[in-house]
Amino acid sequence: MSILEIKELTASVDGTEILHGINLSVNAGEVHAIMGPNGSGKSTLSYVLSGRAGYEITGGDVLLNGTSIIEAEADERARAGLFLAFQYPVELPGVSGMSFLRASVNARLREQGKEEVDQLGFVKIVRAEAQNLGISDDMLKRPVNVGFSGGEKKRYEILQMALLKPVMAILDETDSGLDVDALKIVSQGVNLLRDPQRSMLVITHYQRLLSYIVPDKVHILSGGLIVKSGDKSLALEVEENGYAGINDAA
Amino acid sequence: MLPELTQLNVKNNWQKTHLDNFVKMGWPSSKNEDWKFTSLSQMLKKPVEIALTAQGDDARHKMAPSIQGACRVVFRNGIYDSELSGGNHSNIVISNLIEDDDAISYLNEAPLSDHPVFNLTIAAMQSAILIDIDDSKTKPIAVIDLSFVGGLINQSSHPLVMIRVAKNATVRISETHASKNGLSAPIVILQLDDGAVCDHVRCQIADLDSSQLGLSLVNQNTGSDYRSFSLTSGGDISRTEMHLNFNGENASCHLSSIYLGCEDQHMDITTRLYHNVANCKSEQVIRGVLDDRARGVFQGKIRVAPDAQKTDGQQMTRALLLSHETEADTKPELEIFADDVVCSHGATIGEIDEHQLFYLVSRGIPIMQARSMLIEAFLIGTLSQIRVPELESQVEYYIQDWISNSAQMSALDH
Amino acid sequence: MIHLGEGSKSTIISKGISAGKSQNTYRGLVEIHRTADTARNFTQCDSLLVGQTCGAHTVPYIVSRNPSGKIEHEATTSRISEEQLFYCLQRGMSEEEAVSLIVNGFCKEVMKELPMEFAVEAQKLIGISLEGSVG
Repeated sequence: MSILEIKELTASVDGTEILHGINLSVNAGEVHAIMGPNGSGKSTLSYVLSGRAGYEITGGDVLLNGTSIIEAEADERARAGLFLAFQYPVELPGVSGMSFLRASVNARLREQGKEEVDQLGFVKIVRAEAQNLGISDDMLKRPVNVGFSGGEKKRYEILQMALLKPVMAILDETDSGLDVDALKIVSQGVNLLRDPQRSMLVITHYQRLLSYIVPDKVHILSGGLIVKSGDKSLALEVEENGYAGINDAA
Repeated sequence: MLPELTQLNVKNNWQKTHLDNFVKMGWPSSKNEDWKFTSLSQMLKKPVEIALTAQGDDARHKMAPSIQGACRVVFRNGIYDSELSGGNHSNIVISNLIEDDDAISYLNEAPLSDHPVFNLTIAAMQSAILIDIDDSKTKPIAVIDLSFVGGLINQSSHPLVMIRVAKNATVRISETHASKNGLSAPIVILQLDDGAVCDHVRCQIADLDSSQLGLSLVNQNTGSDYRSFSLTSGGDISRTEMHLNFNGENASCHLSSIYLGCEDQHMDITTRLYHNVANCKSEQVIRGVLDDRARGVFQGKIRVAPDAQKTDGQQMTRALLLSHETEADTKPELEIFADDVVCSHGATIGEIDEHQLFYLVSRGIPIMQARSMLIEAFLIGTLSQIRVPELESQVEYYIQDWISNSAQMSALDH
Repeated sequence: MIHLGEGSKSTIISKGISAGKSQNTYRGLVEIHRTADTARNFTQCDSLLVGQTCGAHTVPYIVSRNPSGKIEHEATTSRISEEQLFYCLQRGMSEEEAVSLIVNGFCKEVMKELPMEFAVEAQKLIGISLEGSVG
């Protein structure tokens, strides 16, 4: 049963078409990798799926758990279980980490008809998840992303993912700017969240991340189209021959 | 009414309109928000007549040293002095402003109909010079040496200069105000066309017995760049006022200003920066040092129009007070109507840091020298903005001279 | 803020929020008199613009007549960026919730000085005032 289905998706930014007809199906529990050179449309895809303003869907459809989401607003899609781990998470000066996390979690719980979290209990839950990712208490007290290093920001994104328990998570170049140690911690955190009821789209430029977060399928995005799909060995092929090699063969 | 206007023979109708405006509004009192900190009552007590001839004491000694290859424009008592002026440059054309319709249209359409200096000087001007700078790929860069000298007791001078810099042309301007006696109310207008670049150094080093009310108007078109350094140290009462308009996108300006006040001087630096269009960048750095019973005023307004998105406007003003009888008044104003902008200003007022002073003294440096070193250090950031290299040492000399005089007076007090 | 006494200290933190078609002006006077030796003032005026049709203005009057007094003044202007808004939306918050969170973050420095009951009321009031102000 597919959690995410993308059918003939075309999309434009500022009037220029970037995605020219994407077809993709991700089943429950699967992790798919999207790889591609710069300018292939990787980030555009993540923004289009998550409903960012300025990214216009001009054709096709996107179904989450069988329901079309292309008419839904960004926050509606999020509450329906879609999560985006940003490549460059933005700072929110003065906004305490706890208030932010609590507001996000409560929004999701309300949507599901469940009770909101109790403040003190929530702190315990957050601390537990934070420990897995090496996030200190001190970091939790700081305003969201303010003064965080690249690695800290990425770990904070995964913390949010752990708390929100999405059905579909899109990780937009989560490995960019990370050294090997940081990469290991982040990958570990992501792998802990793999679940038969949860699917992931891991967007990356390099094969390295995929050694830690091993995908079930790999797709190559180039010039706004998926030009090749395969299993995890396709990532190694890209490593060997570069993207140009794939294009020539496609 | 200051000056005496009954004998004034205004030649053109459009000048008459400005005269009528001035007579109707008169000089502003401190109830006028723009003149809140600067009272003209002392100045208005002295009788003054408009100077009609370029005669009087030899003013040569007060002029800035000539710059090699510069085109020299000299006003004496506010009147163009053809004897002292001169110098040729292929890119520079000097003409009579009265004969240029575009220039006159500008004067009549500028939104300054309630400004006393604007109205009075246009009505009373005896010389109005238009300087056109053309684009030329050949070196050297056009240099204009603008000097305002002379000055007779109880007389006022009202010179007007408009400098139009053509598309992509570059010009360096040295402007010196060194008159004495009476009142000097010059207007200098700079029009920078698309891509024009102008480096400007203005020194007001007039005698302490003169009043200096200077007005500068700068209008920038698309992609133009204006870098200015201004030093104000003369006049019993002086106001250095500048209005700058960004009328074309992607233009930028950097304004540095130093004012040095001593004895009973009153110095007013007033700037109005108008970001009328998007994507322009402005930066202002002001440093003031006040000694004895001097009073320094800085008023800096930045206005960002509703469509002026991506504006970057920065302003920082610092004042150093050297005695217990000085006063510093600062009013950095922001009027912001667009949301996607970066605008900030900062202001500090204080004295020489005693820890820094002690540090130098403890290394054997005599206290007066230490004091001078710290005052120079306070000013050094702005000095580095002087972009007319020929004037750097001259400006440094003026400043060091002022500092050492201040040190001597201070030593006498101790 | 008028300083007459020796060693007097003052801090002014002003957070102005404009939304819709409103115009917000901070007009403040800080004056250090000759008698106020070693007086200190620090003023921070920050403006937040929500939307493209409002305005924020700052008119400070700073007067010092005592060299040993120290005055520092800063003013900044900012807005809620589209990135910040989208970040919160993607975490499931509605636009109102997101604006409220960010605006409260902006006012934090002032809010934390208020007694708890006032702070809670103030937060609610900000939420109500900003209803419908975005989009």
